[in-house]
Amino acid sequence: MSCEKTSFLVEKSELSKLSLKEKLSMRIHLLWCGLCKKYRSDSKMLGKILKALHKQDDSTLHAHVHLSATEKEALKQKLASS
Amino acid sequence: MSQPTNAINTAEWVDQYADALYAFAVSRVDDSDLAKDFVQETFLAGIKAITNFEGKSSVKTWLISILKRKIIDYYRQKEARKTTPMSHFFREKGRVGHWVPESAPKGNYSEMEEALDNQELQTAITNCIGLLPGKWKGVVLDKLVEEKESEEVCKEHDITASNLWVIVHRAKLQLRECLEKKWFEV
Repeated sequence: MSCEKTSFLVEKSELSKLSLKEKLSMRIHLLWCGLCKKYRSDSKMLGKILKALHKQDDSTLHAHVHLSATEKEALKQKLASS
Repeated sequence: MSQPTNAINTAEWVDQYADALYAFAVSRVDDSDLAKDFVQETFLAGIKAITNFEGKSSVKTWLISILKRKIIDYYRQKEARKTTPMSHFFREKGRVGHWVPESAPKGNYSEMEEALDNQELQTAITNCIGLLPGKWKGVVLDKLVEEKESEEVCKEHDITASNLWVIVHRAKLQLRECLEKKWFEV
């Protein structure tokens, strides 16, 4: 089986049940393919990193983000003249 | 009928909603100038469409929904450029379907375990999500960040379960490489 298909099955297995055939072919490929093993471990950590992002919602993640008073003034002028 | 613009105080809108809209836009586009343009366009569209506002939601929610649509349209236009072809990751000649050596995973992500709460890591991954095509981005946010049920995600994005698997696979290939570059190659 190809690495393309294996990496697909690695992702699919996180989302849904694999068929027996899929499960076996994925495992056999992973036994000998170092790169796909690396993909699987990277992908697991990537999944954790993405989930950790949720704990910080937009407001805390971007709490430091705001428009300056000058920018707001300019915006008001623009809207008033529209 | 009176002018609809008379009904709202646009200056008050700016004071009340500009920061929230801006923070939302920045979190989605990761480009402060572009985000500012989005805020302005959203207000302008809001003023124009105020007669359609039925008061079923708060003004803030309504403006955010206008902003969301603008961002989606923006990514739709850019979509083609942002999709990394599969041939970048997997060979099309010789050992077909095997990793292209330069794009193959290095397996060094385990080092990031310690950094999960790190602000820089979070910014880096947010940037990488921002580089995904618009449709993938929504799917990634709903499924992989917010961990919604697959069924719900499919319904919301009007895709099948196998579409979902394909999108997640392709998005993660792209994210994995993007974050590796941002995190390890600085």
